[in-house]
Amino acid sequence: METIFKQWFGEHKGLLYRVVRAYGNTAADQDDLFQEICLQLWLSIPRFEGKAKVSTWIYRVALNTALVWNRGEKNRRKHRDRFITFAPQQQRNDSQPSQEIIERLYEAVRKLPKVDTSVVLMHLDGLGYDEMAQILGISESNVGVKLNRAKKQLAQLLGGLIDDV
Amino acid sequence: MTFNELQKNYWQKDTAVSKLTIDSDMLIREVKRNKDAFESSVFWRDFREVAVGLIMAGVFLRGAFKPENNIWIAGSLVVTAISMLYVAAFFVIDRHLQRKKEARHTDPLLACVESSLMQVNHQIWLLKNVLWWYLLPPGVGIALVFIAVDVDLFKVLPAKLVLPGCLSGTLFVVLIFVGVYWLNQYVVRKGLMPRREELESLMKSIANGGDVRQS
Repeated sequence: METIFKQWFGEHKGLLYRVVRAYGNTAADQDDLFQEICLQLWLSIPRFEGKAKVSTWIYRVALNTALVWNRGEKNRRKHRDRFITFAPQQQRNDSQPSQEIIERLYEAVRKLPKVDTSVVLMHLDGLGYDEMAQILGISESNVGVKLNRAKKQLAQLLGGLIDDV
Repeated sequence: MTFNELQKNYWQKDTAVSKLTIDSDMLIREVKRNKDAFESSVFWRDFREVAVGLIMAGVFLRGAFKPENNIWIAGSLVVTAISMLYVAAFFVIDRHLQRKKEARHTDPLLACVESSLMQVNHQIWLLKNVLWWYLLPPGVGIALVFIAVDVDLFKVLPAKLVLPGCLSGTLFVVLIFVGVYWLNQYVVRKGLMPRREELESLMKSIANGGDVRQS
């Protein structure tokens, strides 16, 4: 189980990073959510039968956790030393102008309704409609409707950064 | 910039992701610790609730079989003990049934939100009806004990001595019961109802805009 977890984590840490940053408003929130997702991922390993792609599985666990995550219950976890930092300040030191755009994007994504956030995240990560439909449990046409709506809202929130929506 | 450019040139080339370094052994240790802490908190919560019921039942049963108690007092104590056992059994059975319905984070999102909502609804139902399954059974037993003891006392002591004791004892128990009831309704209002609304709106927002996919 540990080997599978390490392998999944190593290959898909970017996915987890993005989900956590998109759903957690503060560094403490992000840390809590990250730990919750890791716990749920660990618990999900025995149920993984290989029918879905690993990335689809991890996405499903991560988004489910993020969506039903109850901030009120998070305090059950004792705060220890953080072993990962999700705060955007660290990346700003890179002095790359692209980082600024990414930060703006995260900020806008966090302002979307929760479900739209998940659709946009999956789309930005390059998932197809069929995979998104599997993860969300809705039809592909519904995914399309949601994605179009979310993209329009995102464009508004980004204030002119995107011009083709 | 087009959406595709944003996606390909910025989002998917985010350097922060590649720079992430996490000690996976430490992470696994933390995950295991969280899992143990979660399981142990669930176990001790159940244990506490059942243990209190069992201890109270034991105390009342012990009292019932004291030779100095008459049949009415003994009977009322037995009724109270049974009601305590009933409450403990209710906890165990309810938890067992609900655990089977717990939300699975590996289900599609809609199904996961739906089961979370069902759990919250069940919690609301439990707390709203706390009077009927938690307070009333031992309440009836305790009332019977009070009546039996008071009748016994009235036989040997003057009413002006017994009455204040009866009234203050009854008032004390009633206040505790009202407090427990109020606390439960407060949790429903402040904690569970907003959570239900949040999950309901989440469900609506997943399902609207098209048909729900069967899985």
